[in-house]
Amino acid sequence: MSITSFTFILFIFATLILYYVVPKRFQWVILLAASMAFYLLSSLKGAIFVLITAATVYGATRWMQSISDKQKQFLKDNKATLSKEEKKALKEKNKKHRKAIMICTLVLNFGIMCVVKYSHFAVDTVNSIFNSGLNNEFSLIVPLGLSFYTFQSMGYLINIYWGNYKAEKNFLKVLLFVSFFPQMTQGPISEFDQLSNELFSEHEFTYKNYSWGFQRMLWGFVKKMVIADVMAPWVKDVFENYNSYTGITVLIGAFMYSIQIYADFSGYMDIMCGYCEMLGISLTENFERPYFSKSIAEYWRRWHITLGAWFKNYIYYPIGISKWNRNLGKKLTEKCGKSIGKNLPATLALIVVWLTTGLWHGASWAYVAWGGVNGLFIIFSMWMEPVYAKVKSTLHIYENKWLWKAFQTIRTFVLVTFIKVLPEVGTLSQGFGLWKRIFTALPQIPHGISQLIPFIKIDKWIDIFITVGMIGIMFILSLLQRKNQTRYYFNKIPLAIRIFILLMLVFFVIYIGFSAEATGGFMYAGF
Amino acid sequence: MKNYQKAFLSSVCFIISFFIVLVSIVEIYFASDSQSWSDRKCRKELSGEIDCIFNGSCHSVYGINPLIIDEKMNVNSYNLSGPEVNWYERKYLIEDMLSKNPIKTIYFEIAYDNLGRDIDESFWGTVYFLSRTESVLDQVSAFFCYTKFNEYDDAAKFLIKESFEYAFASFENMCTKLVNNIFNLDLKYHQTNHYKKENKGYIPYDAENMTFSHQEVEEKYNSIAIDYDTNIETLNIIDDVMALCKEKNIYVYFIVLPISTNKLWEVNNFDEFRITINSLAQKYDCRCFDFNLLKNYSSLFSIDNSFHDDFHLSDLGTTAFCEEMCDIIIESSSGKDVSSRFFDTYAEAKEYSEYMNILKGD
Repeated sequence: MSITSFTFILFIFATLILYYVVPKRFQWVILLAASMAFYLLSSLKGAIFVLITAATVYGATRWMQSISDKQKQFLKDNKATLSKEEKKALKEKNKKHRKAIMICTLVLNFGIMCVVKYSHFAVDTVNSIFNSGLNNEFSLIVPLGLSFYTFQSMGYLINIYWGNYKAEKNFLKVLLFVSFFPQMTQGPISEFDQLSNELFSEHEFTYKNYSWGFQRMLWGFVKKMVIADVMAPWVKDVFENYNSYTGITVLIGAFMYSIQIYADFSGYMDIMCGYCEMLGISLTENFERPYFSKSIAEYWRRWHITLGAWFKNYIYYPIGISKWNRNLGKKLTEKCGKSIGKNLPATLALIVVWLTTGLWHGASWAYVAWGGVNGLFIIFSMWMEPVYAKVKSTLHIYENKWLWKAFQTIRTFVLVTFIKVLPEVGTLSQGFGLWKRIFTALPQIPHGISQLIPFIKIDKWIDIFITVGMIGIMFILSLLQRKNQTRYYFNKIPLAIRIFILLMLVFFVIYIGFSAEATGGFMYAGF
Repeated sequence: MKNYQKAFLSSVCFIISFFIVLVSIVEIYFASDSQSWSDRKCRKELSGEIDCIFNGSCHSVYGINPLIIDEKMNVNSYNLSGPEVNWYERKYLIEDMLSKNPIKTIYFEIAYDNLGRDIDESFWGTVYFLSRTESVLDQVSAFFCYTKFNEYDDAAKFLIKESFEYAFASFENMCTKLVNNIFNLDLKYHQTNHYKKENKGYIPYDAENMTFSHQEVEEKYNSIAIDYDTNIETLNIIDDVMALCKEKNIYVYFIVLPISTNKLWEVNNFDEFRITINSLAQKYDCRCFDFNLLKNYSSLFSIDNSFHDDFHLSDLGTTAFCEEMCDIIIESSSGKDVSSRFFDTYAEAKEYSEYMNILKGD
């Protein structure tokens, strides 16, 4: 079921009505039924994978919880009789037991994800290195939202292992957490304690949630269908034919790709967060004006925030605070100084994080390289921080001056764009080829608009006018969102004018959305 | 006001506003002659004058030229056909024409693909039909009755897209006119009017050369069976239409328009369809002419320029066909036996196909 289809619109409004009609204590049941229906309608065979994940996570967390509870009870009952060493030994034994359960469940679920997602990549790599003729023509069922729900449920599993909260006793609630349809295909990747609080508490219908949620949903559809889908064929044209275009044209294509992917991904977020707002459910934000970031590190704190948080919480910190890494840090501090002692362990953790982030985004070396390049910039900035501080001090560059902020923002946007396009063109060599084209063909001056932007058909100028207008509004809203007041002020406008603006947006979505060439869904749904 | 009430009222206001704007734009589009089948204005202008109609689906839209019919048979005919229409839609249009015109003769085009057409098969036919009806209520009820649920969004998308494109094109033309007048320029306008009133419902197709190669002639001979059926609902509608014609003393003909040499060559079960249509004609006691069985088919229709595709005549093919059809009908109406101008079966007709020489190795 496509998110931008009439059937989906009917589906979510039917769910909304049922959600508020049933007694509040059954609201989560409606969400579970809707999630199952959504998944079964979209991918019947893939539903089995979701059930396996939910069942294994439920079983593992309940088992780990029962070990913890029994240990707690045993220690409480035998407080006086057990020695300190006996207590320690018991805790160690149970910890090992729980660790084994966690690792088995992680291996099973990540194993399924790796087999389904990376088999072809692995076979291709082995064939190219060893010149073996392994068969790569097999096809596997790829469940919808595999990466997202796997990460989300494994995060829950790890948190139970760490004892951050208690395991959920109701399997159906765990199933809902794993399969909650608004966030299943493209996130956000939520923590159980935050999301369960939203999903399982009772929600009163409020006009504010309903209207504000609807407005946000509509804006999401505008971003997706009026901006992203219209730009998709232009970007595709540039990426497929970059060798025939001037450097400036290819550069424009690259910038358009940045706008397209932001509009596509954040548009989906707005649709789903808006819908959840109508249900009274608050989802974690995944974007915070990322193109206004002043560094790559900041960019990744503002783009796909929940994925970054997942990698930080479950890969970076565990590696960073692991015994061997801390010991390494101590030894390096003693031998090479504080800076190296602090930065090198962090660097090792960052390398792992960014290579796996790249692999998560795509099963190809181009994506691994993309992740590596992102990591490289962040690591380089980390190491060069004292040097930058010295240079800025020497040149009297003040951080809070608008000119310096503007420079940082534009620089970051350009860097991020260059890094983004690397895996999108095709292979790694094609990505580098695009970079090369930009620089080598930059001196070529395009003659007229038809050579500058040959991929845009000017005869449909009204479509282009509407799309460019919406991009402008998206940019202005991003600027205004700094103060977080845009929705408040919009709802202060008289009702008749608000209805007129919303109607115009609906008609733009319908007209442009139906005119644009089909892109086959949302870009991040492929992950 | 309670939350629910406020939400309900604002939603209703929004939805009503949406539909008012949407219906207005779509109605303007329907009322225009923006598409090649948008014949509302033309039928209205000719109202009271038409004495002969051709009613069918896509085969006759592109295969019946009323101008040739009018000249040869001294009638005032109209091509009331539409691509992919079902019999409910055909009946509506016939009743509408009968109520406004002194119709004496109706030629029903019958094809293997329109006897079994379900009421909600193919939203395209419904969309074309909607643009030819006048009442908004009829359009709304037709949309919901004649469109499958899972095709609502396709049908709505098409209508909305076409309507908006027409609206924007008209707006652009207005701006262009203003700019041309103010600045004395000669900027081009968008073509928004595609319906040609003078064609009286006929849409000419260009020709394509579809000649089979030698290998194709051998491989494709009697190689496929057409999947066709009859539909109880359709047959009931035909009953109603025939009863109406009888009541109004309208003379009825069943005609089967020519399809391409290639398709006749490929298909091995057209004779089943021929038996069905002959039995229908017998039931209603009306004449039936299957022009695929013409003995001079090969000399009338050339595979390189008489057809647009497997199932539709080109403009050249239509001219030849209409002239031949008129001759046969005039002869038949004067009491002469025209059966000698036709083969009895498709199998027999195939023996005289221009491809048979190739197959036999001549």
